[in-house]
Amino acid sequence: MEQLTASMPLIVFVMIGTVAVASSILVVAMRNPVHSALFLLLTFLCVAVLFVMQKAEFVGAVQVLVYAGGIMVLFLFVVMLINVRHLPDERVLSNFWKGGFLVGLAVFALFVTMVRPGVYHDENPNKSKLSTVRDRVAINSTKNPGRLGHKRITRHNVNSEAVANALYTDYLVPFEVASLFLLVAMIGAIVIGKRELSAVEEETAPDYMLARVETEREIKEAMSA
Amino acid sequence: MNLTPLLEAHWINAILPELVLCIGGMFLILFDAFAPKARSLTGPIAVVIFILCAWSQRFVAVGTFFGGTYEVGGITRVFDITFVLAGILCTLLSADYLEREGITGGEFYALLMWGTVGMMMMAKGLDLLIIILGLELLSICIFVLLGFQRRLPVSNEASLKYFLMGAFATGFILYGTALFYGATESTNINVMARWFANPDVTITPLLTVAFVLLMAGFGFKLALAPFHPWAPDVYQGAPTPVAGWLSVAPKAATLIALIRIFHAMGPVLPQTKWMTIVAWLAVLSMIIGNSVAIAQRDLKRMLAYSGIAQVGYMTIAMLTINEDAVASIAIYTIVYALMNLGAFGVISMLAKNQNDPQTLDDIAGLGWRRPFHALALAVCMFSLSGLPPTGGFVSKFYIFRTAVQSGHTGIALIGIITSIASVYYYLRVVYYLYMKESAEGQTRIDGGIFATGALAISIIGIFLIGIWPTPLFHAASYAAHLLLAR
Repeated sequence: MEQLTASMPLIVFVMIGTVAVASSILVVAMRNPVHSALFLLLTFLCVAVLFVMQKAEFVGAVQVLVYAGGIMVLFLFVVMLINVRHLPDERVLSNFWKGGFLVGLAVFALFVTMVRPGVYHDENPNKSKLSTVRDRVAINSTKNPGRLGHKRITRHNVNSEAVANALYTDYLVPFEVASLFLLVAMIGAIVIGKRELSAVEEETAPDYMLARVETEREIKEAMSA
Repeated sequence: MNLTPLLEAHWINAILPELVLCIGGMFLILFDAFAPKARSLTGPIAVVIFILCAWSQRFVAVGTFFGGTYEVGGITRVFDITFVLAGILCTLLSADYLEREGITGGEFYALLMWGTVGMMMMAKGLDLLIIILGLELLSICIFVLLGFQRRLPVSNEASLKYFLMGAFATGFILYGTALFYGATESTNINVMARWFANPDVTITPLLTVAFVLLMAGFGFKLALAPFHPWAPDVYQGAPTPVAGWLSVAPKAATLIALIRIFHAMGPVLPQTKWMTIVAWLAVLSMIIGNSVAIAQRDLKRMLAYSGIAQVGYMTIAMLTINEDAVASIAIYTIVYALMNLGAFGVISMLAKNQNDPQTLDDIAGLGWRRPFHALALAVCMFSLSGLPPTGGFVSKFYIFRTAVQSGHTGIALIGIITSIASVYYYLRVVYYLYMKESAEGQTRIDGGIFATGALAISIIGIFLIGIWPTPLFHAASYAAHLLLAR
């Protein structure tokens, strides 16, 4: 049991890593774009788990929220909107597969030789700043009992907390502007993509615009016929 | 958790004008959605919100806020007034224009307001992050406003062009900022200023690359000469009041942001060639803008090239940042807002297919058919060319005087010569207004009460600043003194 607990990270890593690699291969191998997109989603989730295992919880959470949540949903929407169910029947492997395989193998060899277990950052002073939080907590004062005192504590390995601290203190205004920015982007998209002129609006529209609406309508009818 | 470093006392007073405009924009959208019958009221309500924003300047607290990332001072008030003035003029002009073109305006005015918020952020941001976010907020409003006439191919073209070029420019600015962050270890302008003030600082090629990238991005937003080709197409396709607003307000915001950045870099500027780059941008803008404008018959394109030249003049004053320079830029932007929006305002009243160019022939003989509108256009043209009793003369005079005093005599001379050349194409408009016969089936001028009011504001403002500039100049100088005193 002891041994199992100790080797648990390795077991999880092997499992998740296998799934990640397998699903990323399936992304390019699937013929149906929707299936490809779903496997890409699975890859992202597995990578998020790997981030969390490396104590980069914040990056992991962002991976899930931004990539898995935002971008993938967008992908799926686009794929479903343009209604590509199947790619045209072509061979999965093109004529150049041998060359491609060699290039892939070379890149893999490069990574294997370059990326080795070890410490990947210099021990610079910023490192501790990024993963520790200094905080004051209320405690019962030892000098005069019954009154609350404060004690400074330093906590390590809390990188999401450190990010949050920076985000909501030093970068509060940029954060709030970003939220306004998203609102404006949303309304802008609606304005650009909203419905056609309604009948009420057409009454006040000048002649040349009515003529253009008419032409557009004719073109549309011709297209659909 | 201790919130004191987060929220200073009076923090809400610091962002009051922005809050008024944010909430005002949201209110307008809801008003548009829930009271469709009262849609004609959105324009007047937008003007009221802008006036409320100007009024809220009275309660604004002065100082540095939000952990030293946001500075409110005299100069930001002066620029806020410019932004609000441009917003009001654009709203007044749009009220009639949108009705004629059959566009409902709720979102239009809201986007105008949020764009103004972005500009205010750029003017007040002490952190490059805030400046960039403000710029992006502004840009996204501009994309949508440019493409507001979705049925017009030119409008779509303008929007798409500005979007693509703007995305590039933002990329350059972000890259430059990242490099500066790498070198100075901060995006905060005050911290950067301390870093640059260190006598041991060596100017690495990295910093020069960062500066060039930054100038390329901001040069695009200003339509400075090598980065200007988008301007004529975009102005031509944009809804005309938006084109006027775009040619004025974003430039003012970019200039004040650049003033802050240049001021922070002040100590190292003498030992670099950076200002030579900026000087070349100014010279190229003045020469290209003025010479190409002569060949234009399309009024909006002509004003676009004239705008390129005008930014060139303003850039001359940026070469050496001192109190007079900042004050003259502040005054120039106010006057420029009045005269350029006035000129675009008259063009916006030309009731013809907006897909076709509005040429000089459309205004031929206008002086006898619509005396007031012709007079407004003539006054704006006189002011743009810098003839004496107008505000244009005063502001140009301050700019060139500042340049000569700072020792940039050669560049000031180029500015004066090109601005003399520019008189030709500005006065050609006046010639068409009064000396040409109007033809049969001439384009109607279609201006309601709001647009006429906007023109009246322009004329009065231009003459007021032209005849009695001293109070404004003193206020601007004092504000500039406070900005640079740090």
